[in-house]
Amino acid sequence: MSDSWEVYGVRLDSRLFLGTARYPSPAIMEKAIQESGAEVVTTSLRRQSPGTKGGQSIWDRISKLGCHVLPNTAGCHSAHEAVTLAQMSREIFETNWIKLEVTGDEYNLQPNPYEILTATEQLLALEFEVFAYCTDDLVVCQRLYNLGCEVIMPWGSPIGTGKGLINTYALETLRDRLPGAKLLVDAGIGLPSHAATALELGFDGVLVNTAVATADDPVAMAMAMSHAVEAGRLAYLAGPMAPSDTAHASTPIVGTPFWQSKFQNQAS
Amino acid sequence: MRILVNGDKVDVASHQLSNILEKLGYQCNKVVVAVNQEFVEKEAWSDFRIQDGDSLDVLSPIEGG
Repeated sequence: MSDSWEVYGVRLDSRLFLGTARYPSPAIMEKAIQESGAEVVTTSLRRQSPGTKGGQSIWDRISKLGCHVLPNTAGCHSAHEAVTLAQMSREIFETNWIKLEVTGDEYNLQPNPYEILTATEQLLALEFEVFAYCTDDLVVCQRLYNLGCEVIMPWGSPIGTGKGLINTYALETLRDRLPGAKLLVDAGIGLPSHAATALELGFDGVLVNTAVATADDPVAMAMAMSHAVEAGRLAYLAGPMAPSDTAHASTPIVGTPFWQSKFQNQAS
Repeated sequence: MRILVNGDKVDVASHQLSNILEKLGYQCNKVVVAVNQEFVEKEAWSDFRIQDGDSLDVLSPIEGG
């Protein structure tokens, strides 16, 4: 069944975005990305010492995978820093895509909504295509969408915690209130079941890094995430049953042997 | 003159950005640059004048989440 979707005009078949950090080795990262079927991978920029090749070898490996590259602005603490880093990323990665991250609190790396809104406005004016990493606050996400941000990526829980979706009510509300937005859960996914739940809620995809990269077997976990995303999406499309407070036998009652006599015996 | 390159103090003779990067041993096609936290496009490097006390950030791609 074809279930492709579009992000800023780019057609994708996979709904799993993968990060490229924290893998035991570049070779394992490469294999995990390939086996997951992910078509979008995240990258970053850091200071390079003179005379060294910096992250060139890892970038060479990533660029050969043929995935769409989504550079991030991780580590930025203001809109100005994020916009500068985005401009630098665009030049070297040759893409208008930017995963906008602006940290507001060091304890849980919570995104700063005020700086993210400011940066989004400036980046869109500079013709960037913004993937905004934010909390699950409805009003912030509405504002981002109204600014023209097509892809909004609320956290499931703080980055790197693996705690999963700690506020499914908020995520469901976002889906209901922003039907036209592309919504991905970014950050906090620790298990394939978390990813499946996000898709079951109607999210368009998930971005996963630590859960895959730090698993005992990252390649197997990448495959598990891929299957989970697919299962969650299929379940969403299939239309889940409505939960009920009372039990309903799935096997037909009519014609059940001995049923009546059992209850008659208990009554006597 | 003395400038900061990625937070380290460096003494350089030239004022031309592209010249400074080359002298420092950077592969210019593999890095991007901000001066005093403002992005400087590669095309502008040869005309861009660095002043005493300026701060350069020279970045290259790495893995990211």
